[in-house]
Amino acid sequence: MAHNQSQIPAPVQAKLRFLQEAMKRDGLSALLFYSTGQLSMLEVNPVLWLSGVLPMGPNAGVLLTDSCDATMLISLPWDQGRVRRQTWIHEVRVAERFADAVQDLVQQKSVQGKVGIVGWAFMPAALYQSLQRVLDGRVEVADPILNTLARFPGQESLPALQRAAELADSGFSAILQKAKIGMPEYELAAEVEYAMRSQGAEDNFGMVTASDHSHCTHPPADRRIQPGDIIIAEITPAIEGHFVQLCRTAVMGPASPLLREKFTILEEAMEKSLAQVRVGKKAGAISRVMNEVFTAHGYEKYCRPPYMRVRGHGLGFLSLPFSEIVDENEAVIEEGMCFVVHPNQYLPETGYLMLGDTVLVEANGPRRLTRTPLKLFTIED
Amino acid sequence: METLHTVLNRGCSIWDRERVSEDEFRGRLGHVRRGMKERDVDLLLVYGDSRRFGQLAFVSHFMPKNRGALAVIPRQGEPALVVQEPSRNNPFSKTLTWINEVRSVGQFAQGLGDALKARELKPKRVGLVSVQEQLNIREWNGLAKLLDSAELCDLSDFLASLRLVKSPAEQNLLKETNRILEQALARFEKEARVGQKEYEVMALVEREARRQGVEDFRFLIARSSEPEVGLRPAAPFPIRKGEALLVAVAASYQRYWAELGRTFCLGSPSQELVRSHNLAKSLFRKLVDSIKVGSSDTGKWLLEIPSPAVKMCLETYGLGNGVGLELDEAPFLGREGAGKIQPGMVLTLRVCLAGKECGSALISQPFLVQHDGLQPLATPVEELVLVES
Repeated sequence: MAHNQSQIPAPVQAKLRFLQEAMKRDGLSALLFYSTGQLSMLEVNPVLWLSGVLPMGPNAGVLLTDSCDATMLISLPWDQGRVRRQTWIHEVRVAERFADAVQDLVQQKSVQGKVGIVGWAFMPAALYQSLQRVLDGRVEVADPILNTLARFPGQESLPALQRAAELADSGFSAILQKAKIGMPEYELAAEVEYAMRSQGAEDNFGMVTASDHSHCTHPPADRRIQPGDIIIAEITPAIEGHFVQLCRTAVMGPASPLLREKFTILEEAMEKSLAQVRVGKKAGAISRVMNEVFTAHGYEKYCRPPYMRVRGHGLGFLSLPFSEIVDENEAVIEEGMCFVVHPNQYLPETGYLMLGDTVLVEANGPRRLTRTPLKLFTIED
Repeated sequence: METLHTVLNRGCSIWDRERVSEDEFRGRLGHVRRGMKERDVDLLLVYGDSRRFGQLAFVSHFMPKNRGALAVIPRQGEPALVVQEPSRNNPFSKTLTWINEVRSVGQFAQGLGDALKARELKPKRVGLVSVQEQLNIREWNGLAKLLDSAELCDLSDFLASLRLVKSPAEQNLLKETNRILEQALARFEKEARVGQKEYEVMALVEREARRQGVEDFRFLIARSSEPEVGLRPAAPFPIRKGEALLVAVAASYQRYWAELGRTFCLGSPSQELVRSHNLAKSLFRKLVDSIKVGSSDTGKWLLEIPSPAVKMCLETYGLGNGVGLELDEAPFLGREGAGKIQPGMVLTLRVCLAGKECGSALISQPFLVQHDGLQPLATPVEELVLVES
């Protein structure tokens, strides 16, 4: 079905123009934006990015022809109403057998040439093989198109990012208010979750761990919080498909001089790495500076696996400047990028400690999106 | 029932050995190996990801938190588990499975290659369970290259068949998940108020479930005031007086899922809502009556329904399914090839009417199939739940 251009939101129109040019450049007759039901915070979700909605069920897709005719394929018949309400795409079909539905669509839309798949990396093998078969091998990997176009959240997303950051602050605040001696980890995590979900968080990549010596952060278990425990939290709420991450550490009761001393290393690494978040610098510099700080304090060994590797990352579903902040990342930092910088670190004397914030790159440097102070917190029971 | 997946299974993550012992898994491993022998398979690979992990959890008890994992089961010797995760997560992952050998890797081919090398195993015939259906093409290409000299065969149906009838330990876990879910859903009745946003009351229900140790939680809602929209995640819309709120909740506890669905109304329901719910109730009773040990055509009674819209709605949401390590698993009631109902199966039975021409009502309840009938696993609530507003 042809779209009335005036009914398509301006940011989508801009995307369509880029995609049309990309198809022409790459010799593609259509693009299939694909998303499996398994969602990842560390990736741009191709279907959400283009359609504005995240369908339920195992498979979802948007077939976009080189004339910008778009058709959406979803898995669940009862999800049609919600999808139609949220997307600019007029034609929404339910696909019981996804590959067959794509084949039908390609025939009906008279797509003669190659079909580029955006979201190939996450496509289940059996589905990809079926598409190859039903489209007579006219399938190409087109993930790089999205890697180029979805690097920035865009000005229109700033209110959502700011809101997500406020929720992350609320989530950590819940730890400070609710953590009690004897409380199981999972109960504390439930309070964190409640603080954010009751204010509209759509999802959360959240882990809360309390221990006298953590090796990593992980989803909560049933350990009961003890005096002196170090609580580490990775909190990542989503609003309108945008994730914002906050990493912090709190101690139950007074912090020991040793813990305070070691935590200042994370603070130093955070400060120095944020100084590297400048337009024109390379992302790898952020990681290298963090590692230099820890190395200077004698922890070089602990900057490598099995202890540490990644020093930050982009946050999906709608934009991703780069996947991982590691020493080797040659990507150049640009204004408008959004990512998390976290000098989280395992130290043999204290265990795993966390400190990190999501930043928006502005012309004169990074803007931290959350308001929670960058410090070690103490909780009096 | 399908829901919107989350980016992380972030609730209580433990293996409670008192509820499900290593002996339970050793017993399952024995069944699996007998099947491998019958099919002349010398290596079985079982994949699961954070969205669907039933097959994987059956053999390993492991639940991937945000990516995937592969169980490597040779005909002899101990199995291994390959988990896609940073290596620092390895000690935690080991707490979630009875399998001692847990390999944390970036790519599955690397982990599988190392596991095979450690066993000096060059498999000739490899059984695959949920591998090609769920594993992404990039990772599959790596595995296929590693196994290029072996003959591959799909054994997903075989493993699923071992999961149809639940053991006593599984039944107890399912009862516990249902108990928690029932308690959580009771919060809706206590807390829902006119003007409250959907997500505010959802958060209260979710907190109740998470406080009791669930590892994942789902909430869907549909409203009689928007009949064109089916069950969906909670939104910022305020709850209104007098409308039907169809609420479906699901949670997993110790890997075992449950689903409950009820219809709430704040204030006095209209006659139309009462009629609609009475229809759902009568259909639900027909559904319950149709489930008998040995029966395979559990959807035959649908033919007697005069309204095509009602019939279509029931089929769309499904009459029900098995529930266990997955929220929806075999048998899928009313579908072709659903197989015979057997004692020991645990089923979610569901009547969902949501649409312009079929009314608004939801009843979804869990049952254990026994020789002499169905045993409810949650307090049967078939009435429209009226909430004082």
